[in-house]
Amino acid sequence: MSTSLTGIRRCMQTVLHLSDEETARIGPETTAMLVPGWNSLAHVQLMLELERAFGVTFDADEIAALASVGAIIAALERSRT
Amino acid sequence: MEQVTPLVVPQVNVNDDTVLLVRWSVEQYGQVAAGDTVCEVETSKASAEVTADRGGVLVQSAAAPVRVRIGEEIGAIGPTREAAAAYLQARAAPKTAAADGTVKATAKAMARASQEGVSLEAVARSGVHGTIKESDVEKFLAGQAARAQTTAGQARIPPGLAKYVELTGAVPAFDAAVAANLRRSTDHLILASVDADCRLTAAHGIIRQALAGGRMVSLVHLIVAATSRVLPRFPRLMSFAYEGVLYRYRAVDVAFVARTPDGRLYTPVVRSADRADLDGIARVCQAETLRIMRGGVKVEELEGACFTISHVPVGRTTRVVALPSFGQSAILGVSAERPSIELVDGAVVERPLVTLTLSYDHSLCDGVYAASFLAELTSHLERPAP
Repeated sequence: MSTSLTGIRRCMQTVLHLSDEETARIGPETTAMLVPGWNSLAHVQLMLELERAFGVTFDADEIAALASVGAIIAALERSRT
Repeated sequence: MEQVTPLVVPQVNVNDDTVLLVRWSVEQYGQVAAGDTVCEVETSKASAEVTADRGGVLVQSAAAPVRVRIGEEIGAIGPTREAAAAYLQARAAPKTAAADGTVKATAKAMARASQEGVSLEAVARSGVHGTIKESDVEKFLAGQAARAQTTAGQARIPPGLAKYVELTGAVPAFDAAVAANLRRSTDHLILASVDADCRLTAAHGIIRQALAGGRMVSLVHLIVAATSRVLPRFPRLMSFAYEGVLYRYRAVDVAFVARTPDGRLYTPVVRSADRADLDGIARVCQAETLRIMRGGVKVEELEGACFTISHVPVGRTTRVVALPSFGQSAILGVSAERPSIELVDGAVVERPLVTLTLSYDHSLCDGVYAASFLAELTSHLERPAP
């Protein structure tokens, strides 16, 4: 879980251009509403960055439901099983 | 076998390896006479009509619009439908066997070829042996670009202008295809536009609620949903005129413009958007955008929309006059958001708003009709149904 969260934070910082402070506040409970710049276009770019970083492929039909860090962690864990 | 004549893609420009099969003029299995126009093909510089060498029944083997190679057989004309179809099947069989089944390519190569609209067969014929790799597709594209650049270099511009400019290469094939689509569209319609401001207070509430719940919903998703509810009451905006004939789309398939990081414009389609709820529309919009960014979306997947929405949320853009795609008569441009000040019950209130601009074909509907559509649309967005 912690490895995933670290990787997710790194991806979010890259795609959403977050400061170190903003990045450090990201946790499983974080939703798109709480993160500046996490809009629909950035969301797709974040999904691509996560796919690249974790070597997974998300189900395209599911990504609209991944607008929270907790949901992303769960999706990454599902993709590994 | 009874006499059958293949329908072969003609050379339109000397330097083009491929052309765009724009449309069929005769329906599948339609009867043609010698000299009849059976289809239209187009390059970035010219278009041409392909005529029948003989009379008979036309059997098409390529679905328009599609990019096809010069010399490629895209159909056949025979005395009967069965004879022409049998001919095409016989022609296809040896090719498959010779190629040891099918053209083999890596996933990356397929995605790249699809992204650029080139056929893997064309890449294979350029001299690639074995499985086609992404690098083979890149080499093929570079060869095409070099040939196009030579053409551009040979093109003559007025001498007075030439001393001020330098040649920077050919127009990329993708950009040329988009331009050709818009040129064909604007050739056939009388473009007019009408604007309406739309308050976003309610829309923002819906978006915030969705995001707080971990669901990605954006303004475009809301506009697709609202448009799909309003459009059926404005059938002329779901119609288009072509050569004096009026066509109307059967389904409320709504497209939206998606821009890749490298600036390519695609128009993914939300099929039967009027039957989907907001979450369903958001799911399709996000999924289609992801598929486009990954590469590998087929041309036919982007076809068939009756209407398009183009959101340009950049800077302080206040008005977006977009051009309808070929086969559509209207498109909605959505500006960037901006604050507005209003007096509500004696108090000054700041409210976000966007300007919606409907570009439409004035030969199909007038300004009142277009403005009425915008009025209903803004009403839906400002006071969404519970």
